[in-house]
Amino acid sequence: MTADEGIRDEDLTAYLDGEADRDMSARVERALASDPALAARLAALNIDRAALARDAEHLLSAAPHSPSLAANSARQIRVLALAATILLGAVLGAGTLLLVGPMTGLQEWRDFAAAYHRLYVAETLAPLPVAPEARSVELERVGTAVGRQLKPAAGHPVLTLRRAQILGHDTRAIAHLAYSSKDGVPIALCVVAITGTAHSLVMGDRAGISTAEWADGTHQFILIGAVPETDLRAAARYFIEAV
Amino acid sequence: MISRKRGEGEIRAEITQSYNRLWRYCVGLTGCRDQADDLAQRTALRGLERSGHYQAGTSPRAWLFTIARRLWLNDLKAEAVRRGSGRVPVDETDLQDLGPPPETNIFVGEVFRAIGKLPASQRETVMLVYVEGLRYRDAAAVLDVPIGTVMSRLAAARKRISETLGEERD
Repeated sequence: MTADEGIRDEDLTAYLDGEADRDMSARVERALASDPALAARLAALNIDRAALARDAEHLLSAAPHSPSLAANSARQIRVLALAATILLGAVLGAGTLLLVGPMTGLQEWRDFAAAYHRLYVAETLAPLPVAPEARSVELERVGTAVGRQLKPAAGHPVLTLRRAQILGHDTRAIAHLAYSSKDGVPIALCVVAITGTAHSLVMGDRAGISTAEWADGTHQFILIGAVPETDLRAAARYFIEAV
Repeated sequence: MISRKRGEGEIRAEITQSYNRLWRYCVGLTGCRDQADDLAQRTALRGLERSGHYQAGTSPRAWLFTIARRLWLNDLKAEAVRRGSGRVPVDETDLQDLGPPPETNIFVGEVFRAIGKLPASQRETVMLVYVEGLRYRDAAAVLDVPIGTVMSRLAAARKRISETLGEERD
């Protein structure tokens, strides 16, 4: 009976890595003392972990900086709140900063999304190219960030997708898809991963702009645009089905 | 409620303080600097977004590695579907080896370079255990395999690396 019967390479590996239990360690050591074949097997498994650690350490220094996270979300909230303030001030006239209506209730992500969208004008989207391949790559990246297949969002019958980007609110990623209508009016579809109660289409307004909202239990959606309610409702239908 | 905040805090801290380790793990997965940059960013974003699912006081690093891995596997699947006629490999290990080989010189140093030559499933196990220092049990959790699989991959990797280095020296 050979001493190393029943000791597999996996056991020797665990032994080398300090992961073998006491019984196995004892067996290996006993067998090593008496069986040269086992020693040869151990040698075949040998690697210089110290050298590996040193090599791997060097790779660390090639790493890029982390994306600035904490700064981003707090800053974005401030920027959006400021944007809404400026817009409202402009509409009402300088010096009239009402803190009622669109400004209050800026608590949840959809309020911020609507306030942000109020900054969009036709000129914002005009310079953006419409190349389908670029859209596809963007949609994939943005879709991954919110855990939703967004490729169908490029296929709207009347709205033209101009850009897909990732915004953030608190710690949430918001998929922000910017469209232009046939008349060049900017329309935005925003998607966030939020589990909760599903609800069918609700028309309303937030931050002083028309919205169409729905949720399917895993995600919340909002379509925003300064267009008549019937048009916005009709535009929402495609997304509700396809996305 | 409190532990949710704590969990989020741990994830934020891990991302800001140990982003280089997350990135290095992404290099191990993708074998490509650009893809690693992108994967690490998406992982950080997704990790923060889902930090409510992280159990405070466990391992933020292992948790983020799991996310990176899942995102990467999704990328591979999407790429496989795009390239082949919708036929996706059933086996995850087949899927991993559909990716391109690692970019030249990304794994610098004799031993590390040998790791770059391993099949993807062995390489990612080695990255977790020998580079990141995870225990077998924690690596098994990240990889979603039994501990026995971790052990057999490491044994196979050790043999291969040892052979590769032996050849290079001759």
